[in-house]
Amino acid sequence: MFSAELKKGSSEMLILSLLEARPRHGYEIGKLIEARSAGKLTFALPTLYPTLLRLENRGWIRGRWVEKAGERRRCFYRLTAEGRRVLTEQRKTWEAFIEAVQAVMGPSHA
Amino acid sequence: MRDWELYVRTHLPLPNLTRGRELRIVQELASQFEDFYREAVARGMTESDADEFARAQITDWTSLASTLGDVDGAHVRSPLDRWSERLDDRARQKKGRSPMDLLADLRYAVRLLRKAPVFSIAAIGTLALGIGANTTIFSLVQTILVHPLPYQDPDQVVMVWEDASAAGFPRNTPAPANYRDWRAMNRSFTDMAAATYASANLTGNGAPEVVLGRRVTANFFSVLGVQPLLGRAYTATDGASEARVVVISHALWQRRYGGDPGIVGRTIVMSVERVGDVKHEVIGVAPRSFVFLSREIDYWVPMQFSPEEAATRDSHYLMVVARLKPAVSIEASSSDMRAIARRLSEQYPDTNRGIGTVVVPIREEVLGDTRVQVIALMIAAAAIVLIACANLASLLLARASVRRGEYAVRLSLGATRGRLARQVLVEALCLSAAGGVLGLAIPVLTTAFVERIVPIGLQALTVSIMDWRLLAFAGALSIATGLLFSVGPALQSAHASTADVLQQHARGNAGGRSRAFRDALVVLQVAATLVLLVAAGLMLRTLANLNGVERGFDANNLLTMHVPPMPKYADPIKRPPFYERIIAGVRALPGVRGVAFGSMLPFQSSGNTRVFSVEGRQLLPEDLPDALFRVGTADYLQTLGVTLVEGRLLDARDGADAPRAIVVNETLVRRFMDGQSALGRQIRFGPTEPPFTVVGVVRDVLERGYEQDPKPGVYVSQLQGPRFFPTINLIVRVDGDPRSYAPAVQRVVRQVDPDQPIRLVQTMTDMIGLTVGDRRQQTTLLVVFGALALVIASLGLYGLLAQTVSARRREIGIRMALGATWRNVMRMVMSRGMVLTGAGVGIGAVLAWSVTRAMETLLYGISASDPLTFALVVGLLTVVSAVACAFPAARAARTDPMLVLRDQ
Repeated sequence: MFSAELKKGSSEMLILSLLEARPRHGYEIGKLIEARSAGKLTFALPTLYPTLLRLENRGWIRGRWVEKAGERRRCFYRLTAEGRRVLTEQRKTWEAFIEAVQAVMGPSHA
Repeated sequence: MRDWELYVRTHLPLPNLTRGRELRIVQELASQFEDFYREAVARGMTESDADEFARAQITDWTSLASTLGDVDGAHVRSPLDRWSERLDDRARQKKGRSPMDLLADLRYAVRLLRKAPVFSIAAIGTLALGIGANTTIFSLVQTILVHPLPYQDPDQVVMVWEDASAAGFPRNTPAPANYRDWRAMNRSFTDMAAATYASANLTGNGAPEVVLGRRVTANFFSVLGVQPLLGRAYTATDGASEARVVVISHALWQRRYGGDPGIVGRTIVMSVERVGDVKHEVIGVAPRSFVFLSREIDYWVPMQFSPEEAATRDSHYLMVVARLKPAVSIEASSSDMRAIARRLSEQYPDTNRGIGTVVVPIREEVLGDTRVQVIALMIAAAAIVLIACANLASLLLARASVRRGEYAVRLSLGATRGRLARQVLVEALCLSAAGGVLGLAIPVLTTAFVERIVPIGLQALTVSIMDWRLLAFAGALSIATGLLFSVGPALQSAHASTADVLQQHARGNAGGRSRAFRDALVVLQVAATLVLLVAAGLMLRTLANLNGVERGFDANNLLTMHVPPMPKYADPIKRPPFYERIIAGVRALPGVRGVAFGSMLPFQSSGNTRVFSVEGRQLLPEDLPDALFRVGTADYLQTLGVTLVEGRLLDARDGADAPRAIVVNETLVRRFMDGQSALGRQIRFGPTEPPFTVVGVVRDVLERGYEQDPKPGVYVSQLQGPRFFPTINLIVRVDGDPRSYAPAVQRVVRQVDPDQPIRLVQTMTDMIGLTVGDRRQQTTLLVVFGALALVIASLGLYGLLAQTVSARRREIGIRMALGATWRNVMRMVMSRGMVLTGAGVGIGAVLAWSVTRAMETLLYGISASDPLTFALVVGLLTVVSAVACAFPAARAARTDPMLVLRDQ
């Protein structure tokens, strides 16, 4: 529903914020974004996966293979300390951005 | 399961990434595909539709590949990486391995162990105990069995004793005249030396200190083949001249003279009994490792026989050591000495009738029983390690069978069986290495405790972590245990097959071989535990027996100390007032019930006898028996708490001017009074001494300790007794713990004379305890080991059954669905456990039978195959095993068949 440019700016922040609560694996992240946004935001595998790797290379998240009892082996990603810091910053930036945009476009007063 | 990895590999043209990175990406993408596939299936799609749905997630592989290449630029393979990977490939083809693999194994192993902290800690702890205990025992073995005695050619050195078995002294200290004749007449020895006890009070360079020493013949050190560390040993002139020379021990040199390198030539003042303060020139220091029959000897002075002393055959007090001539055997020297003894007994029938000789190799003299004890300890320690290994092997096997799925996948991905087995090995070695390092702490901590086992005739136990032998032993043992308990699991991992992976529920029995192995381990554990517990039980009962033996006096609440008479009290006039003042002072202390001095306390000496005759019984002089002779101050017998049978005990009445009174023991009455009352009879100790009249009879006191048969014994008052039995032991009967009175009593003694040295302050029970001390250490160790073994074995049994139960859930569920009750299930599980226990008990009982036979010499009042002990141990094991089995059995019985069956 939203254009690729719009999504691109926020995809990293979305992923980081989802990992704030607990570690998740790639498939779960994609599904969660879709579910929480009621289908308005979707990230296809070819987009999502490289983003995960990119975040990992920057040291903001870390992936680990985990074998839970009775389940398949999956790669779980978790937020690093650095990632947490980045997330907080990005949130602030995003909120400031929204505020600024809304201030510009704001309801016109008579 | 669709092979998504293959799919990804074939479609994704990955740039040159490192193999690890490549694998990661492939596996992760494959995982995502699988998730999508399952999602589609769950939504109701057909398999082929779901397949298409999943594949549709990625259409443009090329663009993905390039994005990944951009993102993962850091992981592009460098030429170096490519080269090392080629090496790996080649190595793997040749079925060799690259060093990288080993490191990976190590990291993997450490990770695995960290993931299961409880198991790891328990395993490492058990191993540390086992390896530590064995390392301690190893030091003990080194000191006792392996290290040579500190003499030249120690197998040529022997002790020669008088054999006076008829009088109850199979190894008696020889008399000087006999020694001189032996030395002159023998043909078996290069030389013979003699030694006797001495003690002195050292002043100067510190607080007054009583030290034990030896008076030795001038050839003493040369017979032993010992060179002093500093200075020289004696020459023949030292003995002859007036100048007093002394060789001091290494310990004394360090302790009192600070290891002064200029000690040789220094003069020290030694206060010798009956003589007074004498200046001695230090001519030498003995080597650190030198010890001769006692670790506590601090000095050696040359011995001088006066003409009367040299001629006496009546006074037996020497220790004689000799060196065999090169070609002469012990047996030859024995018969040589026996012949000499025969000649002497013909020549001097009065003194030497019935006295033979016995030649004992010094090694046997010093070690005696200890060999048996040490071997028993070695077996116990080895048993513990084996049990720990068995347990760990069992646990590892259990884990291995759970990971068989993982092994199968790795096998299919190209790992070799050897590699898998090696990984298990590395894991095991990690555990045992950690256990070994931790275990090194144990020898250091327990040195003081274990040292008591070392016989006093050997040098002190030295346990130093820096000793390379110790480290090597600990290291070897760690590796051995690691290998031992990884064998089973390693074999099992190597036999994992891909087919198993296809089965959703691998059967927990994991194949007949693995099951049989684990069963065997449990049986072994139970057997070893039984052996340890039986040994511990026998020793416990021995101790109880020893404690229960009628000692003839009350050993509780009795404080003792050694108050050696100083030369200033050598005059018999001066001594009694000295004692009186001390006695009065101590008696005034609150809580004191009785005070007295005695010449020799029970358990202190098996000698100190005098030949006696009973008036009215005519015996030839050569048939005269001897009796244990004990002298005490007025209330000695009362303070000791002896049991009066007839007449009265000695008391203040029996002063210097009173009629000479004597108290005798029952053995004397039994043997020499011909069934009549002893009261009023006269006893003589020499034709010139006035006789004593028997005023009382007491129950036998175990003067000679537990091991020896009672001899006739007599007690006289200090004021009426001969001078050469000084009463040097102070005993105090108190209310409550005797130890708490020690400082106050010592203060009283010091108040009477500040220079008076006091030694060996201990309670009577402690002193007796020292004689059973060896046994008590053994028993404690055995009990600890036995308890440990019991815990480990029952844990092993529990673990085995728990694993079996969880693996056979389906079978149990089916059985219950088909009508089995919980009782049936419980019986099924428990019977397996009890069968194993039974087998273990059976094997263990047979083993214990033969092992305890070797312990026979340590036991007292109980046979090595005592049925009661065996029965009790079997009972204990059975109960504990039953409890260990009950838990998993109960869990099995609670299985809900519906849950199990649904779980297809």
